[in-house]
Amino acid sequence: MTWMSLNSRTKLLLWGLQLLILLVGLSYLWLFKPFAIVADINQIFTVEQSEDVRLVNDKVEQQQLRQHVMLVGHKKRSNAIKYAEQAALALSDINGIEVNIHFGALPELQSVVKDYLPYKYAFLSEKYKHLLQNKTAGAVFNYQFSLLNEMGSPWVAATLPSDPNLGLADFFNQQNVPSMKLKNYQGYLIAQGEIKNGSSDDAIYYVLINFVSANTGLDLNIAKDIATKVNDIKKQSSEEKSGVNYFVTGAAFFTADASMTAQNEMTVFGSISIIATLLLIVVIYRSALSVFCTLFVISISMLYGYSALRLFFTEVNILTLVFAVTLIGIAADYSFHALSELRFSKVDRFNPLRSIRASLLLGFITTTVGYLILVFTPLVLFKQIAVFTMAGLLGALLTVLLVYPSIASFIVKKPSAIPHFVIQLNNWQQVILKKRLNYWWQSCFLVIAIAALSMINNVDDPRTFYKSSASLVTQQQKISEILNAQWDSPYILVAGDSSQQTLERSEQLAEDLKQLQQNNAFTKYSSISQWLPSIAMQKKSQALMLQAENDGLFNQLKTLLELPYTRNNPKLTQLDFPTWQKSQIAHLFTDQWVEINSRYYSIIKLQGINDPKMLERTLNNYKDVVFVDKVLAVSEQVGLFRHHLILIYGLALGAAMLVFWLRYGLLNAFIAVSRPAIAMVIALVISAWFFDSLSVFNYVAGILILALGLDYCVFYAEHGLCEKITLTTLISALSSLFVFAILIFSSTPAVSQFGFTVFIGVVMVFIMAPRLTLVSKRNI
Amino acid sequence: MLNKLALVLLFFLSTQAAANDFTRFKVAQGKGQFSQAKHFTFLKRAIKSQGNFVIHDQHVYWHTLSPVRSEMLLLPNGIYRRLEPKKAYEILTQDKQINSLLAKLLSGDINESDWSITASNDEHCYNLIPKLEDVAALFTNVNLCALDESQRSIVLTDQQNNKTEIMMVFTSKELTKNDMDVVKLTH
Repeated sequence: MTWMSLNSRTKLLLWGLQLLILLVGLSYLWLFKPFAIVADINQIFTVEQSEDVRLVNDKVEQQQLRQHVMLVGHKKRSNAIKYAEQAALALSDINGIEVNIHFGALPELQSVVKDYLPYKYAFLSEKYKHLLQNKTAGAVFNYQFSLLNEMGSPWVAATLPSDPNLGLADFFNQQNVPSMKLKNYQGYLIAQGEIKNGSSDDAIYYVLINFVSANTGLDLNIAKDIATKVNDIKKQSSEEKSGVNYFVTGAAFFTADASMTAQNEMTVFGSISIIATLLLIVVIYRSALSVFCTLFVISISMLYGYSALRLFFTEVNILTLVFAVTLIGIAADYSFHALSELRFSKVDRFNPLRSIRASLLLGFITTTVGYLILVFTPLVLFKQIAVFTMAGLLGALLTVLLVYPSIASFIVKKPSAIPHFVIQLNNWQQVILKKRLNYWWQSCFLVIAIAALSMINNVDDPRTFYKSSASLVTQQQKISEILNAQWDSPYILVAGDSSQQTLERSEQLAEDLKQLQQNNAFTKYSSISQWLPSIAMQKKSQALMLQAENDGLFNQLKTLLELPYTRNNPKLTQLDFPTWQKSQIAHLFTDQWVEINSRYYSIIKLQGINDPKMLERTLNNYKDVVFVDKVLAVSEQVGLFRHHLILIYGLALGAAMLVFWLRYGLLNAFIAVSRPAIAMVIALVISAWFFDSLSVFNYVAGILILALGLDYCVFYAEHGLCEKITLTTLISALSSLFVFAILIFSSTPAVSQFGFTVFIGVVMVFIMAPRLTLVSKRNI
Repeated sequence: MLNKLALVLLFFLSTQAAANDFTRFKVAQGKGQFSQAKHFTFLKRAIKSQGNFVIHDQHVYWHTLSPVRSEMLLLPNGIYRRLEPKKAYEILTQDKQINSLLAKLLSGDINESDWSITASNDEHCYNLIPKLEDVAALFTNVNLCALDESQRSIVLTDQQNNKTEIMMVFTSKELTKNDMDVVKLTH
């Protein structure tokens, strides 16, 4: 006795039992396994990195995720402080974040100089060293005089009494002091900006509030709390009334925004899809029970999908849940097949779904194979979508096969008549089938379409896959502008076994970085080694200065300044790393130094990166130096994955071909798999024309077209071009279209691209699948 | 009554306008010679230099001829310097506030949004205190005098009370093509 020959009651019992096991398992997962929904879109991309780079990068990313900045601006400094205090108080109500508005003193010019003065001759610019090495007294004097004569540099006056050779002034001149736009005023960090007021510019004071989430990373609920609180603060003191303006930035705001958008889209798209699908069922099957049954199948499939996500993942991206809406359309198909069979056929009372059992199983296998391949992709988003959909489909299949037989008697009173328009559609399909293109034309078209696809511009940059709120992006830019902190997210990581080794390795890069800067690979960089040369480098500078003094290279300047020509051999010391860490300037570089497992890492920040590939190529020549560019790494990975998708298509078609070959023979199997393949190519070509380029999401949509297309083919091959199959595939296609067409309107470009390609693909495959009728033994 | 009030307001506004009228300082374009003397508090002698300058649309070319030759360009996007004519300019600072204020100061574009202005006892002079703290960190006080149509003096005082005296003498308001070229960062 096979399980299919079980009676309806036993099947229902079996179904209840497996659902009970599922619910017990889900309860266990709910109670004992951590699970979070994250809205940080960058986390859907994982990049392969060496262990230490990963550790440092995680730390850097976690720091970035935790840090948030609010600037409270007002024309009057006292008002800016007052509103900032109010905002800080309101923010401190949120659990899980630490709010800072009072800060210690920032490094002042004199105190920075004071930290460096004890280390005589230790700090020289490359230009100054070069002049000393050339030993031309005239050139040295010219350089020194131009420093002395300069307008716009405060360092000469600050260092000249202690360092009359101007080496230290020149060293400081070459530096970019980070965040010097902020001034400490009575414990508040205040930046001054300008706002346009008619033809003139007015000064405006911005008070800085920094808030940090207490845990590592960022919890979605805290992110939402922060965003809500900031909106309340903005509403309470509107700019029109009080003249105050607020700028905010940080992961919480982007996360909350992405989450809200995704939730809204899920709600709207899910509701529209379900309502449209249910209306379709009412129109076709004219029974409330059919509607209820389909809803039930969809709900159970969602429960299965969700359980699988909880079982296999601890974090699920919110974008997965947006894509998960597509399960509604696919899971409902099983219900449609069963309902059509029960409603429009003369069914076996003891085994009502007997005639479509094989088709349902075959359809499930082909669809699952398509999704199973996605599990092996490097992008976790696709893994999550695949796991959710496969589990959901299993739930839908089990429900249809085990529960529907028990309710068959309620659905089937007597076979109903198939709606007239379906009969007309069936006639039209038969006409099309007779007028089909011959194989040569089909092959010709396929070759041209594939050639066109190979020439299409593919976009792999992950930043194009999603769209952040324009207001948040503007605020982020404004804050960068006010604080003068416009560093790009990629950086250079230099590692060493000691702090000195790391500094020396950073120094070795200097020449290449200068060259790269000249070649416009980037515009500016910031490295600790610019402020703290290694001890070896400091000793070298000191030796050069002593030699220059002995050679009389500074005599001309001494004459001008009326200083004595004394030549002594002072005791020279060097500034070591631990001492520098206590200096005033070092406080501004705390985020550029990491120590993990007795390894020392220096982070070199970059600005205005134009050619990341040139940077990567150059830095590859150095030991323990890595260019960390997540966007570039993800782009490369996405590009690679796009190429792998061709293999995935091949594997999916090969697997389907094998199944079809066993059942229908080689030639028929080839015809069966070629229909969805042609539909997919057409969908990609039209998508490329519509979007001007293709992304990985268009290509992944191809997998779904293959899966759905093979499913339709199975039914036409198994049952021939009968009206019942026309009806089922029509409903199935329409329900899928409701789901995928609605995704086109998503504000997330990735979701929209995916929806569009599947939409076109489903239309194409619906038109082409009846060709499989010729394979069917039942035929027309 | 209202008419009287209007008259008083008009008088007040017109005297204000006269008090802060810096149009005579403003130079859209011109060239001439400068001499500069830097007085450091800890040095007995001033550091003196002289040379030529060209001003065009708040772009300033500052060409020191003695005692050593050097060229400086004050542009809205940065201050640049070179010591040898055929070499490329090197950037000295990209601080926009300081750049633009120095360039405005040398070209006589004095704006009340940048400075707290008081007229000096001498009717030709004004005392300017920078409003922006970043600029105040560089020079706390500026004394600006128009000696006659073609001469002006600028005295910059920094936080350590060091003074830079600049005397500018305009020789022409017409610029040649060569003059126009030197105020551009061509390298």
